[in-house]
Amino acid sequence: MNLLVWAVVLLPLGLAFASGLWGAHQRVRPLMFGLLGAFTLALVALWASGEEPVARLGDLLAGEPVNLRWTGPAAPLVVAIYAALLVYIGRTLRPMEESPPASLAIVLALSSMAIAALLVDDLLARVIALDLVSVTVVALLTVHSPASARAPALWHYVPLRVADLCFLYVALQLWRGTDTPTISVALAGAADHPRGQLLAVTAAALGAAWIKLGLPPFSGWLMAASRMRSPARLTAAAFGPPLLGAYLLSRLAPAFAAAGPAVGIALALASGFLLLWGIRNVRRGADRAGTLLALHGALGLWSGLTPASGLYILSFVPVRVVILLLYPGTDAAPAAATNQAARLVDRLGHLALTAEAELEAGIGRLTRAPEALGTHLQRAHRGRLRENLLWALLALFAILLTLLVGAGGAP
Amino acid sequence: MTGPWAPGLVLAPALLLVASAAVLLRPGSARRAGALSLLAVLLSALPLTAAWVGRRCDVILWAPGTAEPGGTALALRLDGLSIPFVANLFAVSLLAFWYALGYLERVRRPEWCYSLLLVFVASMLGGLLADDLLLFLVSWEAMLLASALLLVGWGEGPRASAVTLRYFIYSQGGSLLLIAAMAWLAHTSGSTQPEAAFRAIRHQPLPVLQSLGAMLFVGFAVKMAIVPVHGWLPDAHAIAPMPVTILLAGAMLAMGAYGMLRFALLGLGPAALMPLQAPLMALGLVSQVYGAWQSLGQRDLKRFIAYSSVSQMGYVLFGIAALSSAGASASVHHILGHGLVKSLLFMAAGVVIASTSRRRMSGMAAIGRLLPVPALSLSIGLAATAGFPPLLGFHTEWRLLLAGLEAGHPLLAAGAFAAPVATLAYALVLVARMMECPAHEPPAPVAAPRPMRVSTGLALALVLLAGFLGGPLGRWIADLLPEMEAVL
Amino acid sequence: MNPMPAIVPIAILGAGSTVVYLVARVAPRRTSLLAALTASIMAAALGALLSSGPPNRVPSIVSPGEALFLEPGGCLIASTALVLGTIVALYSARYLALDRHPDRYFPLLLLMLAGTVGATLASDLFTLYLFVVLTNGASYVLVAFRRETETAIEAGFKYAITGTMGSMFLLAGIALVFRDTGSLSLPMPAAAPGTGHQLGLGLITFGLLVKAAVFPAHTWLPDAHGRAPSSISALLSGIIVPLHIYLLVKLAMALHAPQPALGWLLTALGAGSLIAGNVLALRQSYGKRLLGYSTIAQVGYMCLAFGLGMALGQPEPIAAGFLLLVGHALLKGLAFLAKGSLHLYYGATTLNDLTDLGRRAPLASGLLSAALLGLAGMPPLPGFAGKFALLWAIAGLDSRAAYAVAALFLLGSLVSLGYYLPLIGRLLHRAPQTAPGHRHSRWIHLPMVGLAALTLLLGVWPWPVWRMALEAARFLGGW
Repeated sequence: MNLLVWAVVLLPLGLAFASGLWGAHQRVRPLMFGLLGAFTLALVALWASGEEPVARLGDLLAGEPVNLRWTGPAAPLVVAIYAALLVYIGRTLRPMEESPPASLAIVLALSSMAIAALLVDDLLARVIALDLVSVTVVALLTVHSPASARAPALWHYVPLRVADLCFLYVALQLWRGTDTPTISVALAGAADHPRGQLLAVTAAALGAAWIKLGLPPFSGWLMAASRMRSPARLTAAAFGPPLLGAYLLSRLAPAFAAAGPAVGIALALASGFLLLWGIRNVRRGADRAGTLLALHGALGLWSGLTPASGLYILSFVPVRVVILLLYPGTDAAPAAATNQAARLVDRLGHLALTAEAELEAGIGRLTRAPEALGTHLQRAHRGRLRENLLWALLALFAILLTLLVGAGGAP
Repeated sequence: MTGPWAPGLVLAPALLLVASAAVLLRPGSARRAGALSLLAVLLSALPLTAAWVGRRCDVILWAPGTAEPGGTALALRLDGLSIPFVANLFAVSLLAFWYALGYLERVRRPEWCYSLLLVFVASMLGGLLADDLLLFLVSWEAMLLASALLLVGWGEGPRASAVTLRYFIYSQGGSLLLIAAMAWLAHTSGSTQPEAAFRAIRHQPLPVLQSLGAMLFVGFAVKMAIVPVHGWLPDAHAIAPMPVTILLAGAMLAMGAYGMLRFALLGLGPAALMPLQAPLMALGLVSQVYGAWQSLGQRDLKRFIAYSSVSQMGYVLFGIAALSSAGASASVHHILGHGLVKSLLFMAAGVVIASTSRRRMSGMAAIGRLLPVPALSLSIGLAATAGFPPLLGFHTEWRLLLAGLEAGHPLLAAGAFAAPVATLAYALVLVARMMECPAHEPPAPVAAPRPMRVSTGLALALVLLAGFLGGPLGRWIADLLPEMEAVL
Repeated sequence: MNPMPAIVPIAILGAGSTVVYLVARVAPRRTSLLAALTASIMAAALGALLSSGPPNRVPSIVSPGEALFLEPGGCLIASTALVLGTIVALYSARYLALDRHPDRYFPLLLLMLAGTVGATLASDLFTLYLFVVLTNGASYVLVAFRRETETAIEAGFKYAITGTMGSMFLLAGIALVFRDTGSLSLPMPAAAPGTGHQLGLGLITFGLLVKAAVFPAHTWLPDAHGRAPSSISALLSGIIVPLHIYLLVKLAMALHAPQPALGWLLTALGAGSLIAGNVLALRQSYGKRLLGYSTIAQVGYMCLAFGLGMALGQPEPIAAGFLLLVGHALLKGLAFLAKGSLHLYYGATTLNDLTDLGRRAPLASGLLSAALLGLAGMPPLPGFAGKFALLWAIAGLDSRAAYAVAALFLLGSLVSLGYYLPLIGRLLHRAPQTAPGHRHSRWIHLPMVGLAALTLLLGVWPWPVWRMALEAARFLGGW
């Protein structure tokens, strides 16, 4: 059984290596399709049986053992990921839907990371997996950009990393609360945190999920992903960061419950804003797929507050795959968001140089002060001997005064 | 004398000093001098390795003149705190000297350059091993003198003298504070041995201890290039020849952190330093963000990497300011990682500069295609800096952030989560630039000297290895460091 | 071993000067011979001084009691003076080769040192005055030694006027003290009531401060030391000028001056010297004038040390002051001698002339750089030992004002880097084409190397001198 869990995570990775080596061959993709299809059926059987095998990874990070755990909530999601993979490979079997070979490898790696993120039971390991998912998504976006737009596509990583950092904050706070990084234990003790800390944790979790679900103003990467012509969009936009964001929120339900009504109010306001944004975008007609995906993801914001969101999570991946199939990608010029990022960085850089110059000028003034003082004193020294002697006589008066006062004071 | 292999502690710096004189004896080729220097570094690492493998080697006393009350001794010591720093020093020195075999082939008077480099390394080693306040101060000043002579003698560009003057004055300003603090310590406690001295002043009133702590922190912060006393670093790193830059960034900045840990944190104890915690954490944060922000705008490749050091030292100060064992061990781990990663970055940058004769950031376009291995090294180094798992930066990043959260200043700790974003931004600037397509096709690159390329490869391997072994490495360091709380 | 009377060193020096004068009349061109003779006389005097064991009395002609008294502080300063003098004498063998009248130079050198030793050993106001005047008189002539040059005459003239004014005030002060207390011997039995005694003390203080070039009476020093031959500047800056501070402290203690008041005044004036010397040196472009301003700053440090010790009644700052004094003597001497050799062979007067001399004259440049670094306080040279000692001593004072003084001291030390380092930088600066170096005479190099070795020894192993200084400080103050 444990071997099965290992296989769940490592099979796509192995296939990624295989495609890297032999991707050009004609038979590779049908073979993969067949293999994955059979494996998916096996997983469905495992899900139905209700068993929960565990595979031990060792104690890599913080001295605590890290495991891969096939849990009840995660099982359907893993099956959905495999199903989506099947759809993707199925699409690439047709000659007109060719993708570069690197794309297949990256998609398989992405699946592996996403499954690992769902199954691993250690907070830090989950953070690592989330980060790897983000990197893989960005790699996918980069590979599918034209050569001139590749470099700017890298900037999509920034918001995803911010999301991962927010999640790192959540993870570290949960870890501190129960002194163990194992997720189940940490989550069970989540409600015991002091109120302020709980609010901070929920805010951070919402922030992380917001970005991962591709909601504005961080929708750049999601729009870029949904605009891709290649079927790879079926994977990145469907079960990449968005799924993980929604899953994260659903698991944090106990914390959300204990945080109080403020969270609910904030979410209500946010939902209203998102609805307006969505309607405006759909009416404009651009990026339909991306907008619908974002709106679908927005529903996931509530999965923390409404624990009866099982159906939503179960249907998450299939719904998104359907949306992506309905609205194909257009490969329009994707560079708007990233050019903005690059321009912002440029402006910050110029500002930095100005600040540095100002600092240098200030310090320069400070260091030239002794020399300026010297120049002033030098003028006093240019006098003739007579004047110098007169200055010296000042000292005489000071001495006499001091001695007389001092002697007068002493008994 | 305690511990086996005790004489090794004296042998190591002595060997380096002897080698520095020996190199001058035969002013022949640069190759000979370089090979001799590299051999000396390797040989002097041996007795120390023997001393620390398995067990620690504690106090070593070599005291020709302890007759005076408050008189100093030539006492050396290798303990849990110094072992990671010594390891860092030797790793960085090994890389720097190997690199120098290729880099210093065509400078004038190479034997003097190697000699001064050996003196530089010896002085840093002396500072790490010193178990006496005066010996530490002498090593500290010798470090400054050696590095200043290297900068003024072999610095590139017409501004070398001005930059060296500035570096000297900044450093000496910090040193003067340290001298004053240690003179006070020596007089009040009646001893110049750090452990004994700090134990003797434990009962002093808290404000006195805090002023002492503040002086020590500021004095060492100058050497660590914390904002706002960081002004010497970018220029010094930019004009220095690459081996010197590697040593400055990889090893000398770590000396400031060592001083803070040994004297301020271990010496005075966390309890006495509590009021200083918030300002220090804030300073660390400011350094992190300011250094990263400045990196964004730099137009010269070496200055770009230099400002990244400022930012990384901010992380280290943040960890030290957490005033706990976890924070201290995270800082030490970060310093070890920073030494390797910064060496890799500078070495790869040097290979790029040597191959394409281009130092401006704007000239880095298409390097990804023309020089794939150096570009990959730069990218991995930057990814490690930005905290990308499973490379080095990630391991220390979460440990530092955790230590910050435990420190009890929630706003500052939350602010520390913003710094990695800034770090990522400047990392992406260079990576994106390297992937760009330039307007016109750049000329074909020349091959850089072989030792430079080989040592860069070695550095890359070390960075990857240290990254994958991040967990065990962190645990090893946490075991080595003495307990902070027990210092009370 | 029979302890020699304290008069013996002075007698050796005095008689020696006559001998050298006669030899010089006979063999005027043999500068090396004269130099060797002078040096051996000084060495003999040093030997006599060091073997004059326990405090040793010589009867005085003008007062009941002794005229000369060998005390620890005096011994320290006199031995430093003689060591420096020996080295300068050897150095002058070659340095004066181009000058005329070596027959006046060497005897005057011996007389100047006789005066110095006598002044430190004097235990009687009249004897003290006598030897001070002897020292200064000899130095006036020596400063203006190159009297063919106009600038030397002007500098010597200015120096003589100022010095004589100082001497007059000293004499007037002594007279007033004598009038009120009726005694000339040191230490005075008791302070006389009434203002006459205090007035006299004030005049004495002023006179000595003028001679020691303490702010605001410091303006004569850069001119005098800048125009004098380097060998003379080495002695003047090194030991003669700081000597007067020692005399001031000794007299203040012996004449029962109100110590806290005078101590704080000395500290304040020292602070002024420190600031004036350091900031003015930043603007100098002539090497020897720069060194002269550096002396003013260093004398300021000594005044800080002595002043704090007097003000707060502790021997440790005074001991630190002694250590600073001895260290400065050796370092400043080395700096002037090295600079002088560069002037002799390469005509280097301004800072710009020093360009590329690091390559052409490596030993002299190296010694000059080492001396400057030592003056800036870098280990392992004596400047660091003195600095550490002063900070160590201040740590024990537990006074806010003392801490403020320490901060000022550190600031001054930092500012001084601003003129020491560019000088070294000039030496290391590479010119596009280098002219060949000259061969330096061994009479120039060996004394400098010897002095450098001695300086390094003091820097690395200062504890014997520190012990002597502590003893001297305790003896001065009676603690």
